[in-house]
Amino acid sequence: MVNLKTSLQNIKGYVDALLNKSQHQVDHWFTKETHKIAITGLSRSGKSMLFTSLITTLKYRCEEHYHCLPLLKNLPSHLVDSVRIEDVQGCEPFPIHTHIQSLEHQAWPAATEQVYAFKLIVKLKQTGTIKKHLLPYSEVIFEFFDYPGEWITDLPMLNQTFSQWSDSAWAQQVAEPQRYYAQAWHEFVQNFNFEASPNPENRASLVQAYRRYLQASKLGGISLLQPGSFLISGSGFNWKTHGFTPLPTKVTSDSTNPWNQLFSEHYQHFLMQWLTPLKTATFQASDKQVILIDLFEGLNHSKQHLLQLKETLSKLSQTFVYGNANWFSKHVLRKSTIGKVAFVATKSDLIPDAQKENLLALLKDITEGARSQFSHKEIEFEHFLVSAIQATDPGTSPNSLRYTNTDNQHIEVQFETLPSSVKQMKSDENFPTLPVKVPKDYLPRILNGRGMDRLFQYLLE
Amino acid sequence: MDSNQKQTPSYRSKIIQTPLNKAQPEQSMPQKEVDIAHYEPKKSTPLWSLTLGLGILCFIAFSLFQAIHSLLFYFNSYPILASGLALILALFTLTLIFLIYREIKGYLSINHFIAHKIDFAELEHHSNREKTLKTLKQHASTWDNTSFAQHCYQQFEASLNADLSNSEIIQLYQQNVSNPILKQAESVLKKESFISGGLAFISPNAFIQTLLIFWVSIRTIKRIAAVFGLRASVSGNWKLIKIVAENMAAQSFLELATDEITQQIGGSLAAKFMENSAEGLAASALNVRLGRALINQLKNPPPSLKN
Repeated sequence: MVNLKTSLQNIKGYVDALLNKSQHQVDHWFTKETHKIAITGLSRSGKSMLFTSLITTLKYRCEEHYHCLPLLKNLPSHLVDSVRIEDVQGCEPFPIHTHIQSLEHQAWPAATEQVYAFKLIVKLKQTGTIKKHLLPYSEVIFEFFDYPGEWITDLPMLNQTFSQWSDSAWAQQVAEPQRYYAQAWHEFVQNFNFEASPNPENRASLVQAYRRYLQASKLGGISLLQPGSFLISGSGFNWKTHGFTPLPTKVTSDSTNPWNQLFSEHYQHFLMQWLTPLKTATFQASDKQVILIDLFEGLNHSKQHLLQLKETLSKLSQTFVYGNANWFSKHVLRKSTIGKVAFVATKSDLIPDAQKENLLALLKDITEGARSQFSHKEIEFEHFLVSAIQATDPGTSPNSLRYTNTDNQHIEVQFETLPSSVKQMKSDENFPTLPVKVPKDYLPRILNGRGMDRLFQYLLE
Repeated sequence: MDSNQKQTPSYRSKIIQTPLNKAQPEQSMPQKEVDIAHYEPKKSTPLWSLTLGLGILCFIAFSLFQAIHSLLFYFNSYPILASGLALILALFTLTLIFLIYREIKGYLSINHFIAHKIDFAELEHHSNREKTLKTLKQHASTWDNTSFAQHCYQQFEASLNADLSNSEIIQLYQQNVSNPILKQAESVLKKESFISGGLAFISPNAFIQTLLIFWVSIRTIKRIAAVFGLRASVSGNWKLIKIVAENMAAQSFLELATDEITQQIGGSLAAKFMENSAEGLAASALNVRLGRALINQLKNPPPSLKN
């Protein structure tokens, strides 16, 4: 009798759980609209500032009724009931308060050194005559991941063997613009004895020398740095014990060479233990992709830097799966493919309004290689200029602007015409980056940011 | 490997930086949005009431003056009283002149408003954002400063920035100005039609009913025109009155129809209720028709933007 009662209770429990689950699923289908957006950006492309600005603007738009994001018609402010942030299971919450505090102290948010994730949930009131009584609210959910930009450049390594990667890395180092930064590293390799068996000391010295090259290149504005994961302490890979470096061709061509064998082993460990899980957890489950590009990093240095940025983006797009998943494969088979791509040039407030047309044209030229990866598929894509914070003011002429630099000097900058393609940029010219300090009135400047509404409207359509 | 040591790369800077002797200007927060559903335009001076009041005052004053005259026989014997009466009469005359000026202005503005609608197709075709902004600004300058339309335009103006393209500006104008105005006009019309139906239902006889419906129709016109930024002036808005006349003519026709139905049913209380209900519904429906005709007259043709 007791057994029968327990069995019945168990069955009731299963049925209740099933009902709850199905109710939740039905609720999810009819009242929730989830947008899984992969924000892909190289280091210093402004991901953290974009998230900070998005959260702040939506909050002030909804709660304080400020007239921001006017082009975001899919989230009309009079229908927004609330905006809230939820954590994503297994990930650190996005440090929005720390970033706001930094801005209050007139400092830019610190560089991201680990994965942060959050869900931005916008609760909307229904307007349909029947629907507003049956299902009074619907939710638009954005899932975002913030991660160090250095990791993103490592993803193309998944498609290469150690010797392939080593040869291509070596080829890049002897070409412009890396060549200048690789001088010390090349000298070190020239004097290194690859005939000697690897031991912890000589291995550590080799890896350290390579890391110094990576660090110097990063400071020099080089975008393609592999493995970028070696550069930041938050990476889940111990480069001290499993580090590797590209090796000269004479070493990689000899499969019996102990250095080649050791680094091949470490490379595999890097791919299996670090890069594959990272890609699966952070970049896989997205249906939309925003590729953030800081064109000013290239413009600041040289034409060669811009060409390399173009190459990096092209390589990067090879690692993502593009395609239009239908309802069945998306909801039942749970397959995620990226069907919509937005190429975004950030920090667009750093040039005068009169030059924005050229900046957009340059962005389109830079993404040419990346776009060719999905040219044969029906993937929607668009280019945008975004300033998450309007840190500059117009100058006295259409080609000038004003800003306050890190020494608290208010400066007027006169720009010559920006190149509309990489080809148009001369090899001996550059547009130095403006060392803009966070303005005291950062809040209105965030709310007056440009292009965010256009971008998110495109993603929601 | 290259044995030659590479020199530090040097480039010609394509920007010129000039330090300024002043601090960066502070930006202000964006404008706050106003809930459209609860928007109340600022109350303007009740000129009609003032004129009517002064007229009554004149009537009373002259009556009083006549009474005093009849009692004291001589007007010149009472200079203070005469001065007071003259002052009231002067005020009445002044407000009447101002009213006439407003009527003339209203007459001209309604014609200008209907004749100069925004041609969005042309604005799209030209793709010139400066021209579009100028056209929109010119159009908005004809609106009353305290109107709902002007308020919407101010919100639209606040959301403009140099990054917006021509088509985005037109889209934003639709979103922030055209659509809210239409929505507000529809809401006013709905409310007025309900009142029109209610008044027709409770009217004790046909004369009072006609008067009430006429009053509600005029009120509907005035309120809808006010939403579009037009200050209604009865004598000036001849185009609008023509629509009212249409409405009233149609009303008489429907009255005949309801009379016929009533006669068929008989003179019972139930029949009276039925008659009033039918008239109420008809009055409400006609008011809707009146309002829609006016909205169609005043609204701009929508653009053909894809998004």
